Amino acid sequence: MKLGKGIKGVHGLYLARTAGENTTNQQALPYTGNRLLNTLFKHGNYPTWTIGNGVYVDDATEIEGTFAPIRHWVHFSPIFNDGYGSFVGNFFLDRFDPYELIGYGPDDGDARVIKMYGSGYLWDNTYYDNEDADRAGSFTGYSDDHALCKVVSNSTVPLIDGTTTMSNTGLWSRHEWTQRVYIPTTAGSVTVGARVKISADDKLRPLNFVGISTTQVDSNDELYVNYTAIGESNPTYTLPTGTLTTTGSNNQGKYNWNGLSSHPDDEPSSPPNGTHTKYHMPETVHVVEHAFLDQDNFEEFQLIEFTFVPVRSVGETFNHANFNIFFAENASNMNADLEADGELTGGFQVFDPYVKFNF
Amino acid sequence: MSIELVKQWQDNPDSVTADQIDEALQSMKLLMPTGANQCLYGALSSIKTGSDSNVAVLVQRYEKQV
Repeated sequence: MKLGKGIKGVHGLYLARTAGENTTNQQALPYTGNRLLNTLFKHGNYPTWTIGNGVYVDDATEIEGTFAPIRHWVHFSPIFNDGYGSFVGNFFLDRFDPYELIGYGPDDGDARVIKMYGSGYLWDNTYYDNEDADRAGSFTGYSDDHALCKVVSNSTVPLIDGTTTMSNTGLWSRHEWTQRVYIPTTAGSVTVGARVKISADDKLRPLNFVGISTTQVDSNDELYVNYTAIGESNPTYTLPTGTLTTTGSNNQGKYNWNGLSSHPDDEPSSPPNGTHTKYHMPETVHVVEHAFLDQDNFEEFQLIEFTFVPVRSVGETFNHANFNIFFAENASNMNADLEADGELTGGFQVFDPYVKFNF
Repeated sequence: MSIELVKQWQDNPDSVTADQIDEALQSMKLLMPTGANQCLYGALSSIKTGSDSNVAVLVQRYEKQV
């Protein structure tokens, strides 16, 4: 029996999750139904160092180390550090105060807190240049090809081109854990949230930001993003919101919130257990920032939550959304000088994320 | 110790076998996945897969955190 202060869960919301649950259209994995699964990060799987982007598993195999998945969650990072694998940075912590680090080992069935951290460095790999700020710059659309995955996932820079470098303070690479959910067509809005923490002894480096987001795509392959972020006090930057497009003098539409596809028609290229989600590199993005919060207010677990009206133009019986827990790391924070100083990237702790539908 | 094996590899890659790297990776799973140990795990993995230009940074990061 464990003693100590537990984190209060949000199980009362599960009732809403099951309303309108889809049971007939589950062939297109990695959809997980209209609720999040494994929100308590049980099952012992413990990814370390590198993992394949978008790979989905739902079986009970317990794996630790490289290429170890988290069951029902798919990972995205544009920082390739192992040829085909990309950087994954997380610990798992006990859910009880003082939230001690949990080791590799057999699943004991206990809930865990996930703590995401940054890369701190633009790792080398065999095939894909992490220092090329306009990597895949001319590509928009869907692809399985890592070479067509942009290394810049968020940007305040109006135009990224061949002269842009990965020391620019207006660029971020974002890694995240994702689940796709069905949205009942009768749901007027969707609420997502999680309990999150940024401990006093592991604050985010300036310019790094973290949070939760949702992504959807419409029939024109335009991306719709809702997010709540947490970062430094009084940030020196403002993330672009509204409709971001791509023109000759401004390509923010291509360099904000790209990542794993949220398109409902993605065809799995592998058997269901091991299915992977394609990349989506959009050209136009519609962005809603619900809040940008001060990390100093999250030294203990706090609830963050937002509600959005889902996009209706894609999907037949059901609409879809990706739910994401993200760590956006500023490009200027991934360099050798900071590495030499031993400065940590900061850590983002998340417990029991949820999705509920409002009818 | 895994760190010693990595340093041995840095000094002379030919002196370390693939079996030794695999054995070291397995032994890492018996340790707590602290930041230092995750760096060491990454270094061993990088040697195993040939992305070995990351090893020096990972060793440096390990030594700062251990």
